Amino acid sequence: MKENNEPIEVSIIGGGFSGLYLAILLKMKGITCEIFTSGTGASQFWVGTVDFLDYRQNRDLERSFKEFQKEVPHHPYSFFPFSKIERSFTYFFSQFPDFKMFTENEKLINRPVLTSLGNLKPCIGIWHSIFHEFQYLTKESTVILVDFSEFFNDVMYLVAKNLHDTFACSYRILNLSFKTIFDLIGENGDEISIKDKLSEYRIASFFDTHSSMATISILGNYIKKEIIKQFPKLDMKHVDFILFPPILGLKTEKKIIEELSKLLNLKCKELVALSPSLISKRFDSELNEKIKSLDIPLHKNYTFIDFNKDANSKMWWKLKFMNKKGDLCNIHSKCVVFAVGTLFQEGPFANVEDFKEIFNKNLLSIPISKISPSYELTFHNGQGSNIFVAGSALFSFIESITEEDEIKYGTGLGLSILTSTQIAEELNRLK
Amino acid sequence: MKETKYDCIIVGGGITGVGIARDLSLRGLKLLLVEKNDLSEGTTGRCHAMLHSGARYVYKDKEAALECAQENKILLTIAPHITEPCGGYFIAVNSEDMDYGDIFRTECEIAGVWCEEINPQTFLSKEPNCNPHTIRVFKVNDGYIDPFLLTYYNAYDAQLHGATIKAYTKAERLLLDGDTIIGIECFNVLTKRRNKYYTDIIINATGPWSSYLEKDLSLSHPLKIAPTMGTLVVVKDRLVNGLINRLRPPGDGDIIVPSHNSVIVGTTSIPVEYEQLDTLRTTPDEIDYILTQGEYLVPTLKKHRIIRFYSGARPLIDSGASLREASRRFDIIDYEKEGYSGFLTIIGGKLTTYRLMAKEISDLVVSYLDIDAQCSTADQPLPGGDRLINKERFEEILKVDKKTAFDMQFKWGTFYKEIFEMCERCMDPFSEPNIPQKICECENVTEPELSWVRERLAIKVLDDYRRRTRQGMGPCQGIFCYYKLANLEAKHTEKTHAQIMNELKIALQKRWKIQYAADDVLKRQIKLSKYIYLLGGHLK
Ligand SMILES: Cc1cc2nc3c(=O)[nH]c(=O)nc-3n(C[C@H](O)[C@H](O)[C@H](O)COP(=O)(O)OP(=O)(O)OC[C@H]3O[C@@H](n4cnc5c(N)ncnc54)[C@H](O)[C@@H]3O)c2cc1C
Ligand SMILES: Cc1cc2nc3c(=O)[nH]c(=O)nc-3n(C[C@H](O)[C@H](O)[C@H](O)COP(=O)(O)OP(=O)(O)OC[C@H]3O[C@@H](n4cnc5c(N)ncnc54)[C@H](O)[C@@H]3O)c2cc1C
Repeated sequence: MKENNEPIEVSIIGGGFSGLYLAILLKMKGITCEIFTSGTGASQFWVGTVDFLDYRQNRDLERSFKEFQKEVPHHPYSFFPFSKIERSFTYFFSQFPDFKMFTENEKLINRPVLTSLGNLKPCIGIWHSIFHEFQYLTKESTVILVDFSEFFNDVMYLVAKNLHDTFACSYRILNLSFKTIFDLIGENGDEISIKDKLSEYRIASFFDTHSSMATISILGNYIKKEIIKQFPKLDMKHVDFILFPPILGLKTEKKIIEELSKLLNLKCKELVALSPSLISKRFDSELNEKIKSLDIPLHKNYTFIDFNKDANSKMWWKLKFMNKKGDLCNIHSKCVVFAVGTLFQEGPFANVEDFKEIFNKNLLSIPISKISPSYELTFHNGQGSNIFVAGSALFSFIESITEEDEIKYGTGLGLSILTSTQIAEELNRLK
Repeated sequence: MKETKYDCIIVGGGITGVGIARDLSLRGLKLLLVEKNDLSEGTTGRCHAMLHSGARYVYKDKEAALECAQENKILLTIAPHITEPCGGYFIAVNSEDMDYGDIFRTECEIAGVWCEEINPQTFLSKEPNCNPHTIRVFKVNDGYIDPFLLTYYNAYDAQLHGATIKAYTKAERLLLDGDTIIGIECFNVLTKRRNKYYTDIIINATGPWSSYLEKDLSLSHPLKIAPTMGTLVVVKDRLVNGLINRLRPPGDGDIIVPSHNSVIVGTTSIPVEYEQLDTLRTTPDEIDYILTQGEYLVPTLKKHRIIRFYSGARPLIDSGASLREASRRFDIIDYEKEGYSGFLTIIGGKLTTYRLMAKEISDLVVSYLDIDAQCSTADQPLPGGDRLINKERFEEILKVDKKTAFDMQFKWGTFYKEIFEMCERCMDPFSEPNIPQKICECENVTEPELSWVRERLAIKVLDDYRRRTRQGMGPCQGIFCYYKLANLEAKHTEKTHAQIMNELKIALQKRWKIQYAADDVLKRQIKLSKYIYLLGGHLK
């Protein structure tokens, strides 16, 4: 990257879901921005749901939210009026049709999904393919859960046990083998494995490149045959669902699942993933494609290490980055958004003392007792700084939020969506 | 229903207690052992895993030193599968250490403990990570021993010979008939039930907790225990091949022990109160101090990641002397002197000398009961220890990779056959024969090993797997294996989902509790683990 003295309108530090979604929102409002990101974030572990107040089973979200605002007034959520929350989520879901939003009478609601540990977790939306149709389960139902013998990262027995304990339905674990599937399709499994082990990512890519109808029907026939072989006495009339681990492709899972459902005459669904998850890869690549098509510059392997007021213009910020090779480079920017998450923070954020130091020397005190409703940091004198904080990174900036609160009160995609929406509107207003 | 009466009841499932259980059951006694947590969860599981040569004690306690030297040889022959005769060194890094060398050599000679001075250059070629300024080196017979499996194999053998072993059973109260102790009341912490058990003799082998059972007796000389806490830090990478000791009178942070793919560095000696014993807290300062001291032995120590740390308490009897000088030998207290019959306490000693301690107290027990039975533990191999099975054999039979075979050779011995059978059983019936699935990637623990310990080594709750197999002990803190383990538990046991979730939570909380004193890297790791289980998995 070339050093440039022309300032960027908005620089976004951190390319997790918060940073990427914000960039998309800004670009759609005609605000130019660039993203700088160092590497992995919590977004690479995301398992497929959109959480918002996930500790509340209560379906009436508006009421829950009012209680929440009183209970945890410093939480970054607490500044939103509920109507705005609904608007932000509805807009997000309209932009990404691969998600399914949970509503009732056109109101946003929490609904349970099965997590990777078999627990039920309330959330406001999911990646489209995830199983959530619990209302169809009765004592008479049977669910088939697919356990691929070479895929180590699934937890079908745990999930099955809770389905049984909670809904009294029966279950069967269907053992399938990728090796057999490769043989049937005429592929060499060796290329998909690393050190004798099948790589999840490569399995998913395999399905992406083999999603022709012919291949799907081979898969369907194999499953049919194995069901008869393994459960000769099972009455298919009682089977309601067949649940897969989420590895049937990174791009084509929709098609594969639809076609399999038709072929098997059973509803096929995926379970929420385990971490690091393939579902997160799907959403991440969808976001990245959008970023690309919108021509937003995304600088990977750039770690933010320091910033100063720009000497040329008191209005601008000068940001210092280090790339993978250790080279330094400076960027000038009018506005800065930190979307560095809380789990994989690099540079000064990795150490509390460094973190405090670089902000305090710029007359911004960190951590703050309360953030402004637009998520903008203010100078000691109370003036706006043109520096914003988005997504889960907020938890590192706000003093009174503990790690327990962070996990308990629903940090998640919900927070990314809401804060990015708010910041985009604020920046639009400032423009 | 008639109450069963035991010949002897042992309280405490550390190495001392299970050692006695094995000794007495090999002599044909019918006995019961109760332990309030899992076996080896007390001091035994928090020790340095060092099979002493005795050299460390030559200066202060020659009797204990000689006992170590003798027991060291015996353990290497009866437990070749869980010991490693990797040898040890005493190294001098300054002139003071250098001068101590002469005293050290003389003391070793007097004590009857083998040592040999070797050239520092020869030493450094074998231990390239050690201090390049090492100026004097003695080689000794120190070794590595797995304190956990030592405990479980002793207990397993006792069970094979008819003993009853109850873990998660706390002895709460001695039952007396006048001045005679006739039994004990216990509380099962898992089922929350109380039970009484009857016997002629009770042995109190509760280590630093020993004074607790005395509360029911009125004694003129109650036990005065002065527990001291010792902390150990586990650092990633096997930085040394043998044990490295500082050549000086025993002090803090002067031993490094190689253990599987890591090293254990320690230790300290800090007085603690009885009330603190169940919740010993390591401080960040202590960790830093240990590593700073350790850097004299391995200068790059602090550049390697800390995997975990833990503290244990030495059950030293308060004799007024300075704490580290208190005797390392053990004591047997017979309450006959105080007017109570049928009650003995055994306290002190070392892991290395557990067998000898068990022999001495068992001799006393059989003489009380007037039974003529000899100790046979000096030449009866522990289960799995009939002969040494090397890593090549594990590789060949179990078709596992080199790393896994390396770890297996320190665990299973001749049980490899049973594990092989387990292998075929855990394979899903519809998939082709396959290599065993690795469940814990850091410590190379496979599914058949977990199944084997479930069937043989009395698993009660999810956390028990860790001590028997090392599952979850590695750098990832169990993040990427606890859910797989929970899944296997769902598959192979009758436990409900809620039960498994509860056990999972308890197991993880034990891993997370060190977060307060962890460094940035370990803190982040634990936070990720919380995200995965609490947020991603919605574990409540
Ligand atoms: C295991 C797990 C499961 C989860 N499951 C769910 C779920 O099902 N539903 C849900 O709603 N939420 C879930 N979450 C939470 C959700 O994934 C996060 O809240 C969300 O992804 C946060 O996004 P973010 O962009 O704020 O942060 P991150 O994704 O952490 O992104 C921060 C980015 O900033 C970069 N960065 C850090 N420091 C620097 C620096 N100095 N310079 C430049 N770049 C830097 C990082 O490399 C990273 O790319 C889960 C989280 C985890 C860990
Ligand atoms: C830091 C440290 C490092 C050490 N390093 C080494 C070493 O490298 N090599 C070596 O040879 N020795 C070493 N030792 C010494 C060795 O660890 C101990 O001597 C040995 O483990 C003591 O075993 P124990 O069975 O007597 O005690 P413990 O292992 O403490 O066993 C006592 C058991 O009794 C149980 N218990 C307590 N109260 C009750 C009750 N009311 N009911 C039922 N059960 C109860 C406890 O839960 C516990 O499991 C070390 C000690 C320390 C502290």
